[in-house]
Amino acid sequence: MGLNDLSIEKLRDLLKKKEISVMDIVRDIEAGIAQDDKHELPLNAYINFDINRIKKEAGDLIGNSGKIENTLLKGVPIAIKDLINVIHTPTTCGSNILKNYVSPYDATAITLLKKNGGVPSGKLNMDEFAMGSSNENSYFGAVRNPHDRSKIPGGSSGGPASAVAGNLAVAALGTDTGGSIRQPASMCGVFGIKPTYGRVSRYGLVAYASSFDQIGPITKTVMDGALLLEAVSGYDPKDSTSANVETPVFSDYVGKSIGDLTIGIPDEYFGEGLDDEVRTIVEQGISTLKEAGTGVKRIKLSYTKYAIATYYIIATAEASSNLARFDGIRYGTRYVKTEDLETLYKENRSIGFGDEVKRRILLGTFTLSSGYYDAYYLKAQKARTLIREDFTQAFDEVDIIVTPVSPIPAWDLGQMVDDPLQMYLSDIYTVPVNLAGLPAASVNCGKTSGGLPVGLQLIANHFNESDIFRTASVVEGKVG
Amino acid sequence: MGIDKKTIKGIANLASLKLTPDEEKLMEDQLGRILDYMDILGELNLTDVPPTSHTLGFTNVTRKDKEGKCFDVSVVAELAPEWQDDHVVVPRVV
Amino acid sequence: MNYETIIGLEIHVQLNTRSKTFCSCSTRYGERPNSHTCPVCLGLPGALPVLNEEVLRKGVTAGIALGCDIAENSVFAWKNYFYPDLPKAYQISQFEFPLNKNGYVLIEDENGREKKIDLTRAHLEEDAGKLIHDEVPKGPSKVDYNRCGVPLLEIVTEPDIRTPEEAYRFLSAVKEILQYTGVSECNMEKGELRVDVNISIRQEGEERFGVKQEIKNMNSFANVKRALEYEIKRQTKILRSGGVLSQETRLFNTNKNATVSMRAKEEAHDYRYFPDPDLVPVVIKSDFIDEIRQKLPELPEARRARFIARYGLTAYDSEILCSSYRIANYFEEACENFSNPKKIANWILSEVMRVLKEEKIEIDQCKVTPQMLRELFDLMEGGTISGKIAKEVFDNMVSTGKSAALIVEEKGLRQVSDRGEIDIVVNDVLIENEKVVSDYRAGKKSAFGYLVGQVMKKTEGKANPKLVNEMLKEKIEK
Repeated sequence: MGLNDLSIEKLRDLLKKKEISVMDIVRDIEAGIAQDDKHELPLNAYINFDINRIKKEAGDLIGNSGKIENTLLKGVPIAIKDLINVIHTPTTCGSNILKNYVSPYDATAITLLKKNGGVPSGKLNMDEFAMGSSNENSYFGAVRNPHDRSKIPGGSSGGPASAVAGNLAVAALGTDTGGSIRQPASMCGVFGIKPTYGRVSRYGLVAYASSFDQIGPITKTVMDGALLLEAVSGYDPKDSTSANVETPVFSDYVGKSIGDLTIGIPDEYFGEGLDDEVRTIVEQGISTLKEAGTGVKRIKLSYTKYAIATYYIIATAEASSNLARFDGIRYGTRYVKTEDLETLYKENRSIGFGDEVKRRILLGTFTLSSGYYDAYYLKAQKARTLIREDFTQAFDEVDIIVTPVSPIPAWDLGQMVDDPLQMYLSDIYTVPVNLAGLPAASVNCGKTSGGLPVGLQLIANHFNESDIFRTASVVEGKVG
Repeated sequence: MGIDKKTIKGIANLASLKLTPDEEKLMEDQLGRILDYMDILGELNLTDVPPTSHTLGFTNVTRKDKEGKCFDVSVVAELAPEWQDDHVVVPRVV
Repeated sequence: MNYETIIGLEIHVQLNTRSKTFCSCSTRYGERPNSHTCPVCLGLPGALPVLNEEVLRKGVTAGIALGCDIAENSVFAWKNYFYPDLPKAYQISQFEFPLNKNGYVLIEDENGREKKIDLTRAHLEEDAGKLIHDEVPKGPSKVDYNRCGVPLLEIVTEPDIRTPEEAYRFLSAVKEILQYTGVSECNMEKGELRVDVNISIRQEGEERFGVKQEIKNMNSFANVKRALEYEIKRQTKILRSGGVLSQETRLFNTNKNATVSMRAKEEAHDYRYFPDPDLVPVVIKSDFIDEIRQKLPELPEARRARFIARYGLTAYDSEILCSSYRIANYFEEACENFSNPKKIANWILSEVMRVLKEEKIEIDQCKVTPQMLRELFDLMEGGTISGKIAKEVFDNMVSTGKSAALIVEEKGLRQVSDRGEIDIVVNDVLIENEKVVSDYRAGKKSAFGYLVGQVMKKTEGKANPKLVNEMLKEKIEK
């Protein structure tokens, strides 16, 4: 067993006692990756793991601050989804169009991570531009689920979830636009939390759908999630949508009593389409919370069935504009030698983007286009209001809403690639949270008979992540 | 409401994407089905519902009018696929 | 058959700020290409905009000065199109909810009547980069992103303008207002004010508008006027010969003094505007507007009226002085504590304006500061130099930048008012011009002027002309 198998919490302790060095951990991770690469079916969790670059980051951290032992993370290496800019490091977004792009700046979350003693260590695989629920849409190949390598790890943060679950990373930063942290965390049996929109700066996070995107941790334990979220949270004047609020000491809430909380169970999340085994496991999770003393209320989230349509209209509209800048003019790769501007644009983008990205760009371009804006985009923005208000009302009555994360456990690689609509529909339990900008986590709640993990989704009101950490640690304590 | 091939061609052009005839056909089918599904929003009465662009309702986020650090030109040059005399080179536009 | 011209304008004017609209890069002009760039204005993946508060302030100031309704809620929107000078492939602009709506500007029409030109809107947006084209035909284009993200105000008029001259006067009035309020320098050479024109022609009495032609991106008011004059001729000719106009975007070619077709009205550009998810809405409260209104400097119209009342200038003179806030400021500074402002006004209108024209400079580049001009006038009023010598001294000040007193001293131009000195010269002149003196005495009064001229010549213009007159008269009429 290597240091890569340990949690942030444990490694922090060893680092503090000087029993190990930062590079000891990095070397164990490197060895783990190398060993996995030899596997018949490698996890393929990393797009880039440059030991020299990591060494330099670690050196800077130890050299510059001189007080790494006083930082929160004390030098623990953190792997980064390849959608987040790390200076002098490739930031490919899982796309051919940026495969040679090396970022000239750090995202604010990375700046904060470093300030708090985290060492950015490798860039993780993902669905191209975070578009997907299975991590099969990466230019760098599909990622596999460590619990069953014939299965998907979930997406779009499949790399982070697979790496953390497979001990190829201590912990990771992922991103969540419509469930991209929670769904893979659920499918890989790790902890993942999407914070309140505005809690973590989006500056330097390559935008997919700006009004939904959030950075958040994917970790082995709830405590690690709390520590890592603490490290990257905080107001950022460079992000106009960043919230100017205090960051609680999240780790203080891990293991605390939940006797004062009332949990809400929305009927709409337990209806048709929910896999029986998943239902059973989630219900066990709810029982655990009841046993820990929470009140339980059945609640209504009546507009849930409109969430998928609402989300995919707004997200693809934003994406169609956000991805328009990738044209090979100022950065990236020019795939054709041409004297014609239009040819340059079209060839670069057609060669550079994969099918799912093209599909979403086209969808978003269509719903924004003249004559369709009112029928799609505006309607979706209004429906978004209703979905948001649904939650506002629910949180008048309850503290935490408890639901499944995904209606089904990890499916076979390739199973849904030809049916994008079916894949979109699998996001039904995660997208409403993003529409409302709420914090939500997935904590492992058990395994199916086939050995596939199933997560429990815990949704809180804006900026109430602390209650999520309390609740999640109870589930974790029971499931182990 | 589905989508026809002419519209697919039109939006591909707006999005600066080149589609092969096979891709056009595939997109017509897939986007058609997705858009049919989107019609579910037609069930809602949205007449007096205001649209949501931002969930947190912040307003007036500004910064001071102060000059900050810029990139060294060499950084811009390094990023650019084609570069000449301090400029990014592109196919002639006029 | 008579035709009527309908003109509407769109003006893009650069707001006078230190840093760009959404990032802290400098807005300075003429720097090394691509040296004023950062992740935000280069549109690097992941970068986000934050609004410059000064852009908002200047935008509201312009709105007030242009008589607009300032929106309580305004929203930035993405305007989507691909072009190499637009790094994000969308321009952050305003669409459905602009900052300013429904303004107006007053001008005088060609019949001398006051005319109100209504404004549709005046909204905020960011500028694009600058494209230059290789001299080799078909060679590549090159992009400099320094200008990218520089703040602009786009002012859109209603189709209220009827003649090229009205367009010219309207533009001049807008420029004055923006300069007066410090919203923009409006430096045309630097492209800080650019004009797009919409023009259509219809038969007199017809209700519907004719087919619209757009002429884009002109940075001289004279060119706007010329382009409009050309278009009226061109379109009228086509219509008179029974032809049909098709909607086009055209460019004005200064060498040909003609507009040329750039492209047919593009299959209706579909910009797919939608609210910017990265920027939050702008809410303007009335106290913010009041605060700006109180600090608003005097506008050109009010200043003209004040110049007439306070300094006793003619309407015409004050009009010219106020046509540039810098010239008006120069005048007021020069007049400070000076008893005869009209004299200074005349001097500025003749001498100073002549120098600006000859040297092709702006008034703040003139080496003679308002204080230096006043010192020159003090010398004249005090009798140290004559008006004629003053012109010589002024020209010298313009070229050397030296003070009037210093030049008078160095060149020995001090006026001679010593009776004894002048007496000697007068005597010399009388002796040398016996014949002229007798002509004068015989009744040829014009001979007197000749004698005065001779005295002035001998003293190199320095003799006090009043004294010369007096003393000559005394002698020959004795």
